[in-house]
Amino acid sequence: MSASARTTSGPRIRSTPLRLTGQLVGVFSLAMIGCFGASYFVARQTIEAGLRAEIVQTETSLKDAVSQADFEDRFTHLAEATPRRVMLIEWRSEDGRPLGNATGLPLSPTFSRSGEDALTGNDPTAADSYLLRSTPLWDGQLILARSREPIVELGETFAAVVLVGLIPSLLLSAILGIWVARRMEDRIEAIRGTLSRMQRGDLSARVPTHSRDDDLGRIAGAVNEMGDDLSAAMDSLRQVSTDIAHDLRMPIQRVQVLLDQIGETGSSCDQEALVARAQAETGRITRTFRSMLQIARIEGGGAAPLIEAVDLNDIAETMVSVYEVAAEETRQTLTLHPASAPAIVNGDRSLLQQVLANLIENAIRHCPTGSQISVALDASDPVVLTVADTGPGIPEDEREKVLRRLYRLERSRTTEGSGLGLSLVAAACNLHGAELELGDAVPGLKVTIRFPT
Amino acid sequence: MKLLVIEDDKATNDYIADGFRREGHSVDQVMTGHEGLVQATVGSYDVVILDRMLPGLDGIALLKTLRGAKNKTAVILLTAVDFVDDRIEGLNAGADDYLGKPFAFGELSARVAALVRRPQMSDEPTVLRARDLVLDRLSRKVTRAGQVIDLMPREFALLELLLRRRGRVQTRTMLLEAVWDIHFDPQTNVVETHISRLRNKVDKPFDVPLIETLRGSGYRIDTE
Repeated sequence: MSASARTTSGPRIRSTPLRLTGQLVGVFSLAMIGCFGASYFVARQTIEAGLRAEIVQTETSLKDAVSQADFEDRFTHLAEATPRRVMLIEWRSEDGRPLGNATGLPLSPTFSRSGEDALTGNDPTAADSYLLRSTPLWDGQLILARSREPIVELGETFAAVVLVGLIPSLLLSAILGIWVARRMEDRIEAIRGTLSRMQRGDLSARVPTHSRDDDLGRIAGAVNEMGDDLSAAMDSLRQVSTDIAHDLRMPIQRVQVLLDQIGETGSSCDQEALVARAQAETGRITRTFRSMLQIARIEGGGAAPLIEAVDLNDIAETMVSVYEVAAEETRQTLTLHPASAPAIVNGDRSLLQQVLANLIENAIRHCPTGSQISVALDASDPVVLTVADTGPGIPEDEREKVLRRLYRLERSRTTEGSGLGLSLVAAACNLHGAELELGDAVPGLKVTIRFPT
Repeated sequence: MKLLVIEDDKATNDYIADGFRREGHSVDQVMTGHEGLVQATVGSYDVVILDRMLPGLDGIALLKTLRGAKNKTAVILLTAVDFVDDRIEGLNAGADDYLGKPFAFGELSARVAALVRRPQMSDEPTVLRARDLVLDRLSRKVTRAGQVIDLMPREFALLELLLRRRGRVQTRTMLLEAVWDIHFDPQTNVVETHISRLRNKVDKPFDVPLIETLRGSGYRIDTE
């Protein structure tokens, strides 16, 4: 993202796929040229060795002559039978009498390479290049120059192979590489474009999905998932803001009214009562606010739950002991049916306490006197927590809705409560990967929470 | 008692300081983390009341620095976020107690009092007394005026706590934390109900009530 990084990369190729393609084609070309060069060199060595052998062999056949006359006879035959294009043959006697199909060849006791010009002048019947050696023989010098035509031809063949084979294949791979690189670039650009749209606030932006499951496809998938999560988090945040605006305005208004009344009344007794009411209101505002924040935090994944192995039997025992006296006050009975074995789940102790507190408080609040509330645990696999009451229950079509924030049944409008209790339970269950079910206890409400195994 | 309040909100800072001054304590006030660190290191305080969110040096960093320098002054951390993981982070950083905003002064005052004279477990007597009430922590027996009082386990724990912190106010949240290990505020007034049950057994049959209610703050068993 830094500007300097962008400007300094000016002369270099900025697209990674394109750069990689270029490098690949370069390395490929070098390797090919190296290979061809090596095989050309080896083939050339072999052919040159053959040519030398031919010269040596010819010399030997002439050395075998029994007399000067036999030699000259053999030599003349050989010279007549050998085309200049294949081999130049000369024997120069000490008195300067030349024989053979060429004259004036240079002397060279070791093998040497010579061009046509130096040997024969511009002769159309001669080859372009020769391998030459001279050796003393019969009072003179024998000079043999074998045409290097096969080697020249080899070079030409290799050049042709390079031209016809290598260059087109390099061109083809470069073109294909660039095409693939451009396609990769398009896909990368699509991801980059999506990210920058998200950055500008368009959380609905998504990378067009390809069916391919390659690295870019996976990155695109991850970007889209991130988009989904971000939208969910934003929606939840927006929902919280709306809820807060909606649900906190009324109690704040009431506090405002109470403060005005405190200012107006002269009696200290009235003032004290008004202050107490204002304090109760602010207490309620704080609780609602805190619950909303906590739900948002759990749902938004911001809470780091203290995941530890906890025994639900212990938690249920604590919470029932806290609330059983409250239930007795309203002439309800709260009973605990613990599991016979430890009901161990991985969870956040305090959050699980709150789940039970909210469920029990709900039951106490919404059930008439004489109702029975039971908290039961089953430590089998999976661990199941049930809170059931014999109260009015929740109509089936309302059960989904009561899990929403601030949703309250029509008949509960007048009772105490924020409408956040079950939302917190739902959020906490979600965090623990537990399954929450609101069912019918015939009569009454039966809340079942199945913890993951 | 000598207190230091480190809080950047002037109104809250004054509210806390005035409250403790009215109780007869000496209070120093600072508004930033850096000043707070200097003051807490130089002055010898009984309790430091430290806001978690401060400009410059934040509360947790200040606390860690203080504890790193082997300063053992009791510290109460005040915070706008008081979910369990935040509380644990605060306690791990070396706080002695943790209180979420908004709070009533009574709550803070009770917690400060609990910190200052928090007795060591080892020198606590096994038998606790208040007037004619005797609680034996080993045999778990309670008698008043020679009469045996039969208490449920949580009622016993509640009474034991009030006796151990005799003369000091125990707020509802302090009781919830100490007796039930509950660190959130239930909507129902469960503590009141438990106290009233306890009173029915401990106070009602006798002439002089032991458990005193302090309106707006909490409960106390007074010495005399």
